Amino acid sequence: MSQPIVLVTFSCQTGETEKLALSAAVGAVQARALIRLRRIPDGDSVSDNAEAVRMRKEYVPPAEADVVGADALIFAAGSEADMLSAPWHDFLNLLLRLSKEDKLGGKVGASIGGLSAALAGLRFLTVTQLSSDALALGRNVAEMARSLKSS
Amino acid sequence: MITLRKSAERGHSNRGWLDSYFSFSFADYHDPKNMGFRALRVINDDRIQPGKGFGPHGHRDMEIITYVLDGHLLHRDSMGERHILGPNEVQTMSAGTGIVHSEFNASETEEVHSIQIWILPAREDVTPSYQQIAFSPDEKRGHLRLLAAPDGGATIIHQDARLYVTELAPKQKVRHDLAAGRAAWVQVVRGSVNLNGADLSEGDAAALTDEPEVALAGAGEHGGEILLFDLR
Repeated sequence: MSQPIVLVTFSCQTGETEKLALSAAVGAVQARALIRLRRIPDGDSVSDNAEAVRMRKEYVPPAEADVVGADALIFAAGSEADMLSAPWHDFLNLLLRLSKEDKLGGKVGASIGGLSAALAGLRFLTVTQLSSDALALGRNVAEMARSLKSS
Repeated sequence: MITLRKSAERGHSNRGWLDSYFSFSFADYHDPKNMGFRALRVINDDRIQPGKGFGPHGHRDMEIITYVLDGHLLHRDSMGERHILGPNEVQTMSAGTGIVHSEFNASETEEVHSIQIWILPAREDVTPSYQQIAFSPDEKRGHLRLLAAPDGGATIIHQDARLYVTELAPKQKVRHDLAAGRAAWVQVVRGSVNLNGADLSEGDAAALTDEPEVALAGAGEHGGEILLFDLR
């Protein structure tokens, strides 16, 4: 059976939310999933600190193909303010469109931080915050995706 | 028996920022006849453009060894390790239960040329770890310098395999005895060598089974540098 693919999408300018995203990704790898890590681009407030510059280099933004190709999606935003940024807005609109096209059905969705409300309107099979521990959340999401994939 | 694997027979991929030759099946290069040799699963010969690299990605249950020929690689991982790896160093990462890491060319001006090796571990679910050691170039010149082994003297891997490097001037010789039942893989990473009578050039490789020894000599105008794997 092929491995489930877990897409971890996050926004971050300081490296703190990135750590949560990486923990979730490690959890998914522990559960023998393939991972894709994507960073929401900076909005109007572009930081020039070293961590932000590094992350802009290391990560690419999430694309529609990433979402469609994933069996599970984990989202991490540092704050409510992050989620109001234009890039998050664009990404959530993409998810909304895919949801309306029924392209999110059958996928597992989970969030770290304050995105649960925003995700509740999307037609995932499961939208859940399985754990406040990012590592455990990643592991649980991957195991759930594997179970759905094999059922 | 010695089976040659010429450089041109390897898989090849050029994404612009990354020019790679694959000794064994990897990514989009898939050859069912070349899925590895014993526990050796991957040898990728990578040239990475300045400032470019592999963004964060995951590994599980694999011994990943990186050897840089030219330039410097910047490594970061989910264990909090952050290191720069250059020539005459070796990095070994045991992915074990799972890690996420990134590798970038640390320079904004110079290409990095590195060899990445994956060895299947003898057992799954080991605790992830990171090791990096440096050595004097003299330790590999005319000598087999151990880079990775299961029992010390170099970076530790979770497999009954030993990886050596040697740099040989023209006609300079080294020998390595192969115990009964052991096999060897020789990968030429730079220049030219003669292996048990066969001439090998950069990128060429050879698999040795049922051979009592590996006899290497530097060849050509400048000699060569090789990686030698002693495998169960």
